[in-house]
Amino acid sequence: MRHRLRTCLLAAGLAVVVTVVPTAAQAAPRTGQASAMAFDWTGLVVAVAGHLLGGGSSEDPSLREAVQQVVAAVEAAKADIIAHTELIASAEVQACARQHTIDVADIENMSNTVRQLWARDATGCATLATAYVTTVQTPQAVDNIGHVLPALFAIVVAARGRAGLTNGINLVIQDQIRSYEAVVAKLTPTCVKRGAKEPGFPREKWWECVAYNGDRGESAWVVAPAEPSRAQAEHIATRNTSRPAAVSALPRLRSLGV
Amino acid sequence: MGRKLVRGIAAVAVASAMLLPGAAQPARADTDGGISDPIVDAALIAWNVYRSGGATPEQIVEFVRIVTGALTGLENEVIAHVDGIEAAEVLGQAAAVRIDMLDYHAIRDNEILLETFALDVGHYAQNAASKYEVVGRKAKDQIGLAAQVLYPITLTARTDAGWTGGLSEIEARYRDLNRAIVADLEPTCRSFSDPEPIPGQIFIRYECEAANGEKAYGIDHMVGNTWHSGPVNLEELKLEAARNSSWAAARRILAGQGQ
Repeated sequence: MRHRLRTCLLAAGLAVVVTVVPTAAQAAPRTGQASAMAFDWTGLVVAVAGHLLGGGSSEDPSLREAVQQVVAAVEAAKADIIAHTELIASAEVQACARQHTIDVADIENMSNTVRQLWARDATGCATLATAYVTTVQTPQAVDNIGHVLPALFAIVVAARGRAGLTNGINLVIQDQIRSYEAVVAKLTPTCVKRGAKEPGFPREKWWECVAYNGDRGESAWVVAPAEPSRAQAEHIATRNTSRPAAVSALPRLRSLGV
Repeated sequence: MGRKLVRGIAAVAVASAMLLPGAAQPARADTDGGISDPIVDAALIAWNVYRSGGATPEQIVEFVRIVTGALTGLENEVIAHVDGIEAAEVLGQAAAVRIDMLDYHAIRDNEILLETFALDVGHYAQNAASKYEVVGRKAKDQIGLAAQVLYPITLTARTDAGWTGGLSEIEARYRDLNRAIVADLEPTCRSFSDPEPIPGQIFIRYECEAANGEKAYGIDHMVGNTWHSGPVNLEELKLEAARNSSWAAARRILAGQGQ
């Protein structure tokens, strides 16, 4: 009964992801900057990790299907992911992120021993990227790693799941949450609350934010007693950074309860 | 054959330990030793494994439990305020080892995987020891803590894999590093006397600061011949300040090894 429930949950998760991936794949050529982030990487991670954290086996057909979804997503976004890795200042993170993005296509062709070795390597790459993103201070450096993190963690979860190294999945998710928290905090735009009053009209308020890359965002104007949404202005200002994806991913990752 | 049998028994025991709730918790997280408690425990189990030339299933189970707790403490205490890229690299590697340790039972079931794991952790430990030489005081402390966990894992994993050839050199490097930590990262203490002393009374406030910035305080307060507070033992105050610093762990590890 539990197994059936778990399989249904995984199937439901995959269904969501499957409907997202084709859309993202179509969107991929649109802009080189944002397309790698257009995939629902979090949906893929939640589907695989949720299955494993619920006690699911690495050999379940439904898990293999989920892993194939990760492979397909990485294949479709490969050019964009690699383009982003080339911007990462750390040579180690750049090299390992690029290599694992390429290697994942052959995950089913690997012997199990090599797959386990490769899964450990991929894990080391993700923890290194997490350590860097929590350490570097310049927003550009954070953003460059932030763009690559979603695909990298999806690869790690898929790799460890498929290799049967599943006990550490909860710690992988903890690291992913930690890295996203760093991205969100370090790419928070500078914001100012504005107000204006025209004679004969009620006073209006709104937030204005400027991201590190100079992009601006403005929340909807509201009339007192309503309060304008700072999050809305932040989201618009950071639309071309890795921050919005991290913001939306965090509650879904936390819902895994690791 | 005998070794394989022992490994088989140990694998079952390790797998069972993994199922225990809270298996990744520090050994004595509620005691006053801070992060140095599980680090010292892990180091001394590894020391015993190294000296005996083999690991019992019980030792492996206990080691995995304690070392994952030590690495969890390391990640919680340090990684949020890593000091510089060198320390970030070492702590990133320690974080990967922490994840792998939770799958140690699966790793040791595969001879190639276990040997590769032992090699990798050995490289990480050596990397930490090399990086330690070239960074400032706070980063030295963070790298020192990571190395204090990575070396015991190296010693234990290599012993578990039957790779005993290089153990004495690795153990010597670990001992040298702990000695360097003791010499380099001793907490600094200052004392402040009452600016307006009262005749017949002694009032001195002590402050010791560890390499990680954490502090401990003590007061000598004597009226006539009666101590109301103190006398402060500066060695104990240093250990208290350094409870989450590699200095306290290094001193305790060396003492536990009879060094």
